[in-house]
Amino acid sequence: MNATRRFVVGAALVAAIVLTTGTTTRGFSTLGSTWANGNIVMHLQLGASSGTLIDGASSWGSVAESALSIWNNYLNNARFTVIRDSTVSKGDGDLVNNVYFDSAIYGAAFGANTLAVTTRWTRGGSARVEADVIFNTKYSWNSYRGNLRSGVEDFRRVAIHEFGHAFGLDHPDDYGQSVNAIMNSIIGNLDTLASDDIQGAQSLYGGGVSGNVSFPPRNEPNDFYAQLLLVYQNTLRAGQSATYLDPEGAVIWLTEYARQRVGQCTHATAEERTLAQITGTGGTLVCALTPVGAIPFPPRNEGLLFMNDLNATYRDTLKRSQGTSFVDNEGAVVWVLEYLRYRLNGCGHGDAATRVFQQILGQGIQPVCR
Amino acid sequence: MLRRLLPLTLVCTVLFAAGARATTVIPPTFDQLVAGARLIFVGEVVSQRAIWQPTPRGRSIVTIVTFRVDEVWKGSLGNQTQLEFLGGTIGEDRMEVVGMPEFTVGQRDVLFVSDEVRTISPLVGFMHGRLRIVHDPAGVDRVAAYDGRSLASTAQIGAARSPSLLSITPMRLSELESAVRARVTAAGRAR
Repeated sequence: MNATRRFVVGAALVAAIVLTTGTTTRGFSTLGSTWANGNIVMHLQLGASSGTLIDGASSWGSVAESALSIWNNYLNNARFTVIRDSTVSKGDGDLVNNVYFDSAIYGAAFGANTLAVTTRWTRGGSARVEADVIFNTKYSWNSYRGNLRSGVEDFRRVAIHEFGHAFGLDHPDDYGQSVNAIMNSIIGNLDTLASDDIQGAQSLYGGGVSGNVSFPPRNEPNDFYAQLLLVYQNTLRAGQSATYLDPEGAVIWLTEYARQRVGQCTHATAEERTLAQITGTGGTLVCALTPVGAIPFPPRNEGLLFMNDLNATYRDTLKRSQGTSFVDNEGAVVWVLEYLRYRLNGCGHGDAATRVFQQILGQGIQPVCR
Repeated sequence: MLRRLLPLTLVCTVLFAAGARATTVIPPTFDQLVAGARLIFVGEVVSQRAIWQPTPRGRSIVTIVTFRVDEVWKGSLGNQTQLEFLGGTIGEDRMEVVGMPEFTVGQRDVLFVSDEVRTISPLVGFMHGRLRIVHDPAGVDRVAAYDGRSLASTAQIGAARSPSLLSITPMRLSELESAVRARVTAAGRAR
């Protein structure tokens, strides 16, 4: 081949690279099964390292925990939790998620060239119920950043990859795609998540974003609610309604539901996320950034549906005793959301409370403050 | 302009080739596939079934795949053989190992069966020891990697993936057979 032809081939190759890397379509791939919302408990059973690892980590467990927390930054409806140095039995098909080193996988050999394996169990279609991650003791492991090193496998990036499988991501490059991702079947010098990996995680577990709308500090809605109780008791002469909610719980979770709705979540998603927080399994991300302009608020009926379910959660899950309140569920929903609507549209605490009470006294919906 | 392209080409090639290895599996080269195989055959899946299998720590599901053997390129085999893969579906329970080959009846593959005993995948290099046979519109059998990527030559087996592979002409099954038989013969002479 003469020099000119070599150059032409070179040009064609460059064009092919540019074209293919520039036309990536969907990117991430999923395995078709997901965990139920909530915690995915990983039993770390990796044993002690023989000393401080290259990146300064003191143990395999701490590296694994760090790899899990990297994913947790982008998971919302489900998230990894760990049991450090767990002594639970290692078993397959036992609904326990074991993470450990071994020379075999439940009695079967890894086979040549296999660094690590993730097994996954699903039951009844797409409900994932178990994932074990097993690292092959045949290889020399350490934990480091940057380019791959010869003769020593990077436990951290392999763990990040395997944990991606554990919650449901597949290899994007096994589907004719060319993307930059730690979930690719071939690992290179990428040592952490790429945006494609993050999008994949969020697609499975409703990942979200930090809200871009500031809500008032907790004491102010609480103060409003205390005033509301007095207005209902003394001005409206309301009777007492049965409830399982205490005033603070009503205000906190109504505010959180409103925050999720303002953060573009549907009623169902906002309710699910808020109730998950009550039971300690939810995150605080919202669904999307709130667009510029007037702050959207949920319709009254949806707020009331949430309030009824919140009441049931206090009764059935938190086992709270029945009490009474001068403000019934509907009143709480309507006026707390109205107070927040004023606050988020430019009104200070006093201004917002005053406008709500003017409404309660029949003076109609008041203008917002901007 | 052209003079600038050549260095750029080399840079791109190096970027795609440098330090690549599979997370779960280090991809074997063609020579490693052949050398690591006890058996190499062309087979068609005729049936498969999943069964529960006791393990030292509970129980697993394995899938037993039965192949009709069309050609044997290394080792010796009868008309049929069975391979056992960890994972499978029984009723509502499904156990999978990410990356494990999955088969369908009627499918033809070239299978490189490992000489290791009782592995989770009986193939050399886990999934890499399965090359797919694609019957092209002209009636020619061609070869693809385990995930369906076309292979232009045996040199691309185990090599880092390059987007430029997307537009290649896949190698013929007959070319793969010649290459395998040549390696097997050469290895026999070396002994």
